[in-house]
Amino acid sequence: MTLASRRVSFVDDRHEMLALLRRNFGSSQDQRFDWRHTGNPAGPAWSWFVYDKKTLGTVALATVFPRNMYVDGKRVLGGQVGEFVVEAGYRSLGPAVLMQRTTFEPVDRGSLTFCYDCPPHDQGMSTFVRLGMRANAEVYRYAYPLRCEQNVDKKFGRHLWTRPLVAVVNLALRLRAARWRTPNLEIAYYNERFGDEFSALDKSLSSAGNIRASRSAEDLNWRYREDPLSSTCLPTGTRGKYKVLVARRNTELVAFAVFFIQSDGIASLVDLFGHELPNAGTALLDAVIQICTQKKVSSIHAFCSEASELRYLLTGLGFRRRERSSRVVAYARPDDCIGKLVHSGQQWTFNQVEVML
Amino acid sequence: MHADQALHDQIRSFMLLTFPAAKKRAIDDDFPLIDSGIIDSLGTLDVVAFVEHSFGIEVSDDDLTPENFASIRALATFVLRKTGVPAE
Repeated sequence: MTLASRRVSFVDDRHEMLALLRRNFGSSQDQRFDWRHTGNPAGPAWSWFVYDKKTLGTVALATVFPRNMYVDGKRVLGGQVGEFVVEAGYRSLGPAVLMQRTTFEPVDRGSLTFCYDCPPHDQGMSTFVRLGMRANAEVYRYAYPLRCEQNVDKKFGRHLWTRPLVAVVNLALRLRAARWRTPNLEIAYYNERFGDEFSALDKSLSSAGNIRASRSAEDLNWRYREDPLSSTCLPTGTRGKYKVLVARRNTELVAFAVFFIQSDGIASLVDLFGHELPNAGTALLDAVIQICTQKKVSSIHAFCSEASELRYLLTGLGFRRRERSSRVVAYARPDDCIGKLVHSGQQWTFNQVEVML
Repeated sequence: MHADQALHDQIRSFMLLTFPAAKKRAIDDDFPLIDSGIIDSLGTLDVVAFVEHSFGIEVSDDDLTPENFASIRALATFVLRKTGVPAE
């Protein structure tokens, strides 16, 4: 088997690419295809097929999605690797390594300053190990239980005698969530399109010494308002409508939080960003907890890297660190001045928004 | 003992030593190492390191195909091909 790669055309190869994505990721791929591959304000994605030179059959697919990023305070164009698929029957290291190398092309050409991948498990690291690369950061899941029905049912089954136990534990969980009051800070839902004040907040926050995604209005609108799956609550899907909370002082935007509640009763905190996070961030998180309690959510999950400020807010409010959810592995040209920074001296302050596709 | 058989035994010893799942199964020369889950993608890297170190060969990305790692016999054939020794 001799393999080669070629760039995918989102017009000519659309059907073949969608068929491959459906086989590996499910049917919801169709709805998000254009939004994801060509609607991104950072620019269109790059996708490649790896194919067998003899049979011309497609063996693997990978995509790099452009992302507006900040590295040490400078706004640069980065890329996130995703849709990494090797067809059943070809799942060995060879095609995967070729595919992984191919995703470095936009960086080598200078179209991107760097790209990063977030392998969720050890096996996903094998291509990087082969290429002599190591993880730049690790992202962990944090959990805050609000109700215990699911855990009790799982452990003991659903019985009459478990009801008092559930009631007592749920009461204890509710009492634990003390209200956080910050003077002159107003917390409210934000249901409109993101405007200039969000871009201003993004610019005003010094990101010297760290690597993070941009939160400009256009990035936020694309991510939370234009995602075809975010506007509807799918009865069978796990992704619900994004809920945005803002913290304001004298009408001025100080910070915001984004979360969604899945159909299985788990809420996921996607992002928390802004000034004065020890106060505003904690107040926002407290509001998320209160809303989720009212909506009978069983647990709130949050994801962040070790260097993310969110980590301290989460643990301060009683979130418990659970398993490592992914690693971050970055590729940058060693001769590029910002590329060098990616591998040395920068803190990867990633929340879920930087990891999710 | 044939040189081929010695090579097979050397590879088998490595498998038994390195992969706990291999110890629980009777892995003969044709036992499917990948399909049975004994070797995954990270395990392949251990095998690559083993053959490169033990037999002084360089395993290229093109060599990282299931055919070369599918079984002890396939791996031995691959090593012989890379070292330029014809199989007996």
